[in-house]
Amino acid sequence: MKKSIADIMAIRQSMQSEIILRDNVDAEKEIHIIVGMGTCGIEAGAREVFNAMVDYVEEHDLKGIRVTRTGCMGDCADEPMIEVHVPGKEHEVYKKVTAKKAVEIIKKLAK
Amino acid sequence: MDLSFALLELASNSLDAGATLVKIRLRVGRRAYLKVSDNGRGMDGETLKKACEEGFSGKGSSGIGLYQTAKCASQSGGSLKIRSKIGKGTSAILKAGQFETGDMAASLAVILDDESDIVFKARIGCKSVKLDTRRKRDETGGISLSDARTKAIVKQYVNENLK
Repeated sequence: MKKSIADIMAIRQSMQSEIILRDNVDAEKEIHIIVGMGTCGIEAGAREVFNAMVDYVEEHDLKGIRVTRTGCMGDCADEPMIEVHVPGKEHEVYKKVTAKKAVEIIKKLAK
Repeated sequence: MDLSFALLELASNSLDAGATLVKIRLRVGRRAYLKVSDNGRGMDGETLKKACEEGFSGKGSSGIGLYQTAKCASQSGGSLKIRSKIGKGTSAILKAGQFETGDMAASLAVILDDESDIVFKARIGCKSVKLDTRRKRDETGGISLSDARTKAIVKQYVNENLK
C-alpha cells in the first residue's frame, strides 16, 4: 500500500516521536554539520558518511542536528570532509571521514 | 551506471548554481530516463558546450562530475543532454540502457536543504513516489528540510513506496 509523508509521520508520532517543525528546536542551540559533496567527495564515500549520520540521528532520536551538503571543500585528496559547527565553539573540520568515524563524531556531539 | 549517483551529481550542480527549485523526474523500466531541471543561474552557450568536457568547471571544481556522468551514460547505451539559458535555469536529461537504480533515498537525503525546494517524481517498474517539498512546507508550517530527522522521514517515505 502506498504511504504518504503524513502516514510516516503518524507512525512516528504513535511511537511518541514528535513532528519536526522549524521552530521546535532553538536555532541557537542547533549543531550544523556540513558535508563536502563535490564529485571528489561523492567518489570518496561522502554520501555514505552523510546518510550514516542521518540514520544515527534517527535511531537515537537526537534533536537539533542539521546535516547539509556543500560543494567541493578544496582538498580533494582528504575527502570525505565534514565541518562541524557547534554554537559558541570554534568550528572543526574532519578529514578522510568514514561512515564509522562520522557516527563516532555524532556520538561525541550528542553527549 | 548507478542512477542515484547520477541524480546526486546533477542535482548538486543545480544547487551549486543557486537553484531554489529542483525538479527531478525518474522513469525506470527496461531503460532509464532521468531529468533534473532547475531555476538556477544557467549557463551561456560557450560554457554549455564545454560543460561535459573533462576538467572543465564553471564553478572552480574538478571538472570531473559531468564528464564522468556523460561518459557513463554513453557507455550504458544512453546519453546525457543538457539545455540551459542564462538567468532561467538548466535541465539535464539522462538516458541509460544498462543501469542500476541505486539508493535514491540516500541521494535525496543529501540534496534536501532549507535553501531550495525539491520536486521528485519517480516511477520504477510499477512502483511510484512523489515528493514536493513546497507542498509539505505549507502544510506543516515550515518543515526544516536540513534537520537530520526530516531527512530520515523522507528516506523512509521514498523507500516504503519504492520497495
